[in-house]
Amino acid sequence: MRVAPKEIQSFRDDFTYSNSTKAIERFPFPFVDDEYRYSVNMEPHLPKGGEGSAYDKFLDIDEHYLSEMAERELVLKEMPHRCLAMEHMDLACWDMVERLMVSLSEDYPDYFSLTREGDLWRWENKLLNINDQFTFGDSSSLPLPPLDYIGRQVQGDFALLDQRDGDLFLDAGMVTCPADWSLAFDAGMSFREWHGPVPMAHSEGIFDRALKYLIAIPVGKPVRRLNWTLTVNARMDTSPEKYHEWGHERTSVTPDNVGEKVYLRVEVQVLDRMPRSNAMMFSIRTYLLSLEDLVTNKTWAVRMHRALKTLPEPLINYKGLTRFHGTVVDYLSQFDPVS
Amino acid sequence: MSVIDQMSVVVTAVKQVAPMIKEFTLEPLEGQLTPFSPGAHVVVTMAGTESTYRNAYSLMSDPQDNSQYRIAVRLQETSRGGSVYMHQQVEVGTQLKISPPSNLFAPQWMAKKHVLFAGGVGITPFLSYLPALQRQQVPFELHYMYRSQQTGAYRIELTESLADRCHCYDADQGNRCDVSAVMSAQPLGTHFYICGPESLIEAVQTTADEMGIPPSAIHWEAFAGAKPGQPFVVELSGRGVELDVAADSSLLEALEAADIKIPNLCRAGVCGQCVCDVAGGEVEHRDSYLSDTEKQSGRVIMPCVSRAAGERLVLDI
Amino acid sequence: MQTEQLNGVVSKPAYSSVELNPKSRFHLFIAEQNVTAEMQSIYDECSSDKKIAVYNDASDTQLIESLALFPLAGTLYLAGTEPFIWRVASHARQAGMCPEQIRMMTPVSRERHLFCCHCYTVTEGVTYSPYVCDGCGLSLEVTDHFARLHSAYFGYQVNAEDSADMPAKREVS
Repeated sequence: MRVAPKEIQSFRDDFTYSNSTKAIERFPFPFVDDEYRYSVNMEPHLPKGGEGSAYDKFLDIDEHYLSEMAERELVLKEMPHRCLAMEHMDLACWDMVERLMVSLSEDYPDYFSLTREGDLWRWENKLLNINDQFTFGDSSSLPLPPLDYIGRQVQGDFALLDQRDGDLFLDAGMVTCPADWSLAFDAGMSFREWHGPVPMAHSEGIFDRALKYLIAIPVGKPVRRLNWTLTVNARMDTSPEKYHEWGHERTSVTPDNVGEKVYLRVEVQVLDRMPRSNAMMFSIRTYLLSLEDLVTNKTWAVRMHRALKTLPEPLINYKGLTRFHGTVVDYLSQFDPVS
Repeated sequence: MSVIDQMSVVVTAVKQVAPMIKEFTLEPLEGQLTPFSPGAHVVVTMAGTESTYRNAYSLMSDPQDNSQYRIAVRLQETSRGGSVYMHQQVEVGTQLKISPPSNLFAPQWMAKKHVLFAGGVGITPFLSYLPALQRQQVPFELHYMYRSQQTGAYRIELTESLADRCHCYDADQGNRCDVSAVMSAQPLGTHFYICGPESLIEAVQTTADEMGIPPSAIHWEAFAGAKPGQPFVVELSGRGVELDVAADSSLLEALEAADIKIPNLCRAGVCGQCVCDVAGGEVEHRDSYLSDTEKQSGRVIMPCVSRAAGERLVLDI
Repeated sequence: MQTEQLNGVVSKPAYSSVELNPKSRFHLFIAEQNVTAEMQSIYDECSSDKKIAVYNDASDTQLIESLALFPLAGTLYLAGTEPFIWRVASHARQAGMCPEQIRMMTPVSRERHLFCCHCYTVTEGVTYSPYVCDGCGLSLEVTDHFARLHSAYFGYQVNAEDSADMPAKREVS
């Protein structure tokens, strides 16, 4: 059984966000080894883990749907520039509308429906009470620009990458729950440029190999990889834009509160070729799980401890864990029989 | 990477569109075809009696039409059999397997103007460009070179629908395109696209270079796929297997016939997907992907087009 | 937040000495305030169709106008501060110029433009870090992560995690 959307919880102020037992079970735990290694770790984005798993559908709609959509509205209301699309990305934006509407309506017929008669489309989102008719490809027929319109109805951040000159350019996106990167600043950058601040990987040639692989991804063959960091409090919007408001929370972690205050933040990143524009859609679906919920799974607790203990220092700094990494490792060590 | 999924299609129309060119309309056996981007191609699998051929053909229908695809095939004098098979064996009702579309020749969406140079059957990728460029209302010019005794498909329709944006040059009537004059008349922000024989691609590249037009404004697609060569034996060192590669089969096709899956997109030595490690034997490199240093090293080969230079080749597979 | 590892980031532009493009039919030299010696020597070496322009406080409108009629087979040479060079380059790219048509000389000063990720204000004349944002007044860490589109480096509040933790001033190069 799939977890149904529940009532709205908050990712700020009073942080009422919580995971049900089912949501903990299906959490996409990222560590497969006891030792952390940076790798590109891409695999075909095919169903895995059985019915109801986080990898069961192209897009995962879970119990936090309404909460995340409400959070997104708050972010966009205050900072509309967290969504942008350069002029030449218009067709790619419509590609994304089509890909998302088709897959959502096929995978979740109880929540979403799409009726198409030629270019005349009707889209219904029962969870958000949306019911609109529009002309596919005609941006003036939607109440919002196409990326903005569909982005507000699906969990996770989205970027659209224009492919030209053997490279990928970050030319459109909606980014309201990033792990510390700014779409407004990175807009228009090449693949290497926007990964500029990532330590170690450039010298190891990881990005060159990844780029070569990505530009050859064909239509209908999406790939995924996981990325992770730690977030203090269940804050979705850990953007640089708001860092001056949330940065101080990194000093609030103590041995007493670490279990409830620190969250493993996992991104399921999917790259999917857009058929009409040849652009790449890069979706970043974020999951948050508190350490005290995480350690209810004994295997995860042990792996998490060993992975964090062996995490290289440049990555500890890059991920912003410097101030509380030790506290987290100490907390997790009690669950590891070998430590 | 996983195995490339195939789509089953049926041929619903065959049309002779030039003395040497046949057009095939493909419709899905079930459901709808995926939309595609201008310049995309599919790889068609042809199960011949002797061997299985796989050739890449540009899609030339309107990219927004997902009820059918159209491709055009020129009968090649030096064919390994693929184009002969399409011309002689395929008729209305024939079922074929095709790959999903992929694109190594997409338009530059930021261009201020597009200038398209087509040579012969090289008109095909541009037929999917034209509806998209017209919808975008961005300026473009088509320069179409052909020999009317062999090629020149669609020239009447194109002239009618594009009017002064279409320029035709029939070499059989002594008409030549002055590439230099065309290129020197273009404004800043123009991108040039070439699909045709190697000689046309070189002519445009040379002219651009002489005129100081930046190389990144020039885009091309060579439609030369694998050509036949001498037969040879390939040894797969990791499996202890030897395979015969016939004169009219590519190395990639021989590997596929032995159920060895090699990722590939273009089958023309361009995309770089099928690269294999060489453990022994001399290589005759025919691709345009590997660098000169890589070719000289003799350690890698693009099996879609390249072959053994001698009688034997050892691959690290 | 990203910290010291931002040194050596690949988005930071690298400059090398500029040569005349012998293939070009037309050459446009744009200098911000003074024609530098390097630019002058390339200009003198150039015998084909050429033009030199100095923009003291050029407005974007002026720049866009002078680039609009640029021929397809031309080369643009830029001298001045880094923010100026990249601002002109960005307009040139908008006008349709390819990257290899734009040749940039080593900037005449170390001054940076600094993009504040909190209020999106760009502060000019930045030579050291941390630096106070003109817009929101926060002290920003000046990183090497450079955006060509903004002609500016990425800046974030340096002491957001602990207000007492204010690093010593350092020069940026």
